[in-house]
Amino acid sequence: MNTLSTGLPAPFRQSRSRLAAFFKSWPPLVLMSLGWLLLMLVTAVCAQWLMPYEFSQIDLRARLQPPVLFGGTWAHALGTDELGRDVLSRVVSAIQISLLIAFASTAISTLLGVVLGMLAAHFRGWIENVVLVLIDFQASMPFMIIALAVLAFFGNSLPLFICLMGFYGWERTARISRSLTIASNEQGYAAAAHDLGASASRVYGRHVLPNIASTIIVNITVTFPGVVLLESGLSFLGLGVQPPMASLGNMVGYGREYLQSAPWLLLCPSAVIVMTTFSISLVGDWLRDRLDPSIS
Amino acid sequence: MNAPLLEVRSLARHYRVRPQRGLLGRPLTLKAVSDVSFSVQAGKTLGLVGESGCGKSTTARLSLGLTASTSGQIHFEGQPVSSRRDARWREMRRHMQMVYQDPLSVLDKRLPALAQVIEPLDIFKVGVAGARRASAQAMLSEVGLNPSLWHRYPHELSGGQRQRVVLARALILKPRLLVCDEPISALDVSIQAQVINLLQDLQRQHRLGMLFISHDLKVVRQICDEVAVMYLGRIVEQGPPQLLFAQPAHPYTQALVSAIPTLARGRDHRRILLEGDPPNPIDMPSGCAFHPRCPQARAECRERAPAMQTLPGGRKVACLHVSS
Amino acid sequence: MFRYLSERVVRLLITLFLVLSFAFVILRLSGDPALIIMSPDAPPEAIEAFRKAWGLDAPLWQQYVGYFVNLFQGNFGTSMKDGAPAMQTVLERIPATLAITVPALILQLLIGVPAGVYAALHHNSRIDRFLMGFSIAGHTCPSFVLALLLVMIFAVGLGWLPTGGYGTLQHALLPILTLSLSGAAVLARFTRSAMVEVMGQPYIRAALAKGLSWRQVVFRHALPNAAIPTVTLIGMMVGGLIAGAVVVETVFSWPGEGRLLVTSVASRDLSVVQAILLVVAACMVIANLIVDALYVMLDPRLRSGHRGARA
Repeated sequence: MNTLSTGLPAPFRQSRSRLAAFFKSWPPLVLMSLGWLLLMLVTAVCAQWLMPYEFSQIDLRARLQPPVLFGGTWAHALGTDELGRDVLSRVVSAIQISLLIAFASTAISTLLGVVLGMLAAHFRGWIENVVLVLIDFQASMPFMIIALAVLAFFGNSLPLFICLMGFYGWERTARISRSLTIASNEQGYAAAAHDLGASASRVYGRHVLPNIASTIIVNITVTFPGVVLLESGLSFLGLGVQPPMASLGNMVGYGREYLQSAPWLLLCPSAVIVMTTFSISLVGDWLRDRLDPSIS
Repeated sequence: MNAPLLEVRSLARHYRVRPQRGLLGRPLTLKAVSDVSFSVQAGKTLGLVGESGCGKSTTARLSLGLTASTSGQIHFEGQPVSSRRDARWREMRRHMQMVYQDPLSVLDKRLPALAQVIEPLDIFKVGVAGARRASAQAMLSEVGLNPSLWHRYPHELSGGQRQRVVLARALILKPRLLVCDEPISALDVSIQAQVINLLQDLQRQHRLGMLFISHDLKVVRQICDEVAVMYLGRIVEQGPPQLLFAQPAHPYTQALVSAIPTLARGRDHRRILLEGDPPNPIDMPSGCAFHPRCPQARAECRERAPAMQTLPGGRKVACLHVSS
Repeated sequence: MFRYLSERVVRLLITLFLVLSFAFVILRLSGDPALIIMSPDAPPEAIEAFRKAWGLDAPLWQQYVGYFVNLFQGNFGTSMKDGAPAMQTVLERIPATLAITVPALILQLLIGVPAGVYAALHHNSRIDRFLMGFSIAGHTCPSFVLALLLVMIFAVGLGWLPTGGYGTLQHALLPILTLSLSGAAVLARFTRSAMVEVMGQPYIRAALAKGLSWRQVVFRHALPNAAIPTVTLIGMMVGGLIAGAVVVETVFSWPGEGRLLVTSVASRDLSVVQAILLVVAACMVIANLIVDALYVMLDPRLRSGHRGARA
């Protein structure tokens, strides 16, 4: 550290390098992503209070108004759609729905994957073979196709849809948790805890699970955007979230007809989708580099 | 105290092994341990020595009921020891514990030293939470770990310090039997001496029966009251260390003892070199397991497996050449 | 080697069997197929006749066996919309899908792999960060958003290309571009991480120490080893050729397999959906088999019976 050559007073130099050090461990892009995700979370939780209008409130006198910087008014900051409904309110409501589905599905998928993976690793034998066959099955078919088939046969009520999305990505989590649990069992600290007399649940709950948690968390940051993309894709096709509920995907689907006349109808929800998945992926990459450089 | 703490009779552990090539070979048997019998007295140490792969660690795990045996009986204080992990098995853990070769891998890397030692108390719900902490601290002091190190994680401790933590964790429940599986092999030589002294002190303090497994004959000679030499899963010679090392009866023991480097022997000492292939527990030789490498092998060694004979002085040997 | 391949074939057959059973199960679980396939206000005799024709009044295990027998005989049911045999409808659309997915796959390989390799070789440089930023953007952007953006720029804004439809090369260009960009992004990222991992291996350092030039090391040692996991990914992408275009075909009104699937799901044309499911499963299985055979060629450890790199 050059203290003589810069010519700046000492406290200023110190704060500059402290700032530099801060930005080194928290890159600005990651900070912005975290900020966006926080905003999304707050929006989803407080949707009811943030919406200026009811999301299904129709106002035929104010149809297809552009957003505020493109000729519209502050009354409808992001414009209105073909039925006069306020786009901002619909986007807020859609964020709530889409994030709800994403959180619930990711939770189900992670739980399913971790439990099945650990069961396979603990019992080995035929249980492990069954789990491996299931993993193979899930991994060999593109999930979009399976989802479409299930939606065709079962229809799409919201709880069913969330359960279906909950099957996305469980096989990757199961593979990871199985191989990590086998490694911990072979490594010795889990075996030693068993030898000490600890029950299996204690060994897995207090020893193995905390040790594999960081890898599982990184995996969650891969599953979550995948669910968001899948759900928005299905909703875009009209097969996911059904009206009157608004999801980011189906807003883009409805806005498609007005691509030329009212592009903001599909650009606003699209922008939200892209920013959200981009932020999670970025944060996930950064977390992985910090927590667990061993996985690629 | 005549009743042995741990008694093992005709213990065997065989594994069915699928051969490497395809589905056509017949399944083979890996005989890790065959017909092993010994006993450990309270307050005394039995050493198990032998080369890598002779079945020492398997025997240790079998004696504690950590692995299922193929045949044989194990009794701890008169009670049979099973390997089924039920409530009775878990209760037995309070009286018999194990110390391992690599202390780093058997410690949860996310727990500091004090928490590792409290763990067994939590598992068996001994006393109240506050008292557990105090007991753990007392135990760590007893094994000689400095209080400034109690909050450190395993990777922040040296090898000798980690082994002390493992010892403390094993002894906190006040077991009566301690099985040490090569506890000092992974440590620096200077630390080995400290840990050996610690083990002897602890044994005296708590009247522990110890089963001490090692491939290092010098240490075994120092710490053990009785030594058993293993080869290919069998005990070939057993006896008090002074007698065993001074006048080894079995040809294998003779070869081992001649390999110990000492200054006392002078230049005329000839090391006995063993010829032949290293032992393979899958493809056991007929008759005496040692005969392919034995410098004193005769024709009958290929036919008959020797039985364990008792010699004066409390020694036991399994060799056709030694007559009682 | 044979042991490895035969093991893989058995696993894949089991997977195929499971997919077929899965199709059967969800068809049965979703309610009375007769009521679903025929409308609820059809006359009761027609429903009864339908049930008899499909054997729906037989016990479940008999239906299961009959289902497989039907499959082997090539009987996949008929489409609700026009009464044509379902499989025929499905197979008719395959060329259209292949017309956009195959060029897209080629473009993905041509763009994605070199980008990934280049980024890996200039690890942590500005180019690397730029390329990877692009790549993250590419695969976090949903395909429909990308498609609509391209439509807005090229079709509406610049007017160079049509917004959708079928027939000429210009109609195919935007779908192909959409598919290529998102696929290339995924491929670039994956190739980069495979290359980075390989380049960090000790044998690369050893090769350089032996005196080989950088180029020789990359082409003779690094790339072939990095190819192994990349081939798996490419195999999955090939297997997913038919499936992957679902959204893109819908946006561009391209009459391929994916669009058929969406319209059939929307109209509950169950036999067509089932037929598509089977076709996609068969494609994935075949693609996996080819990948496994390629593995044996690429990874010498598999030839001698060693487990190799595949999980």
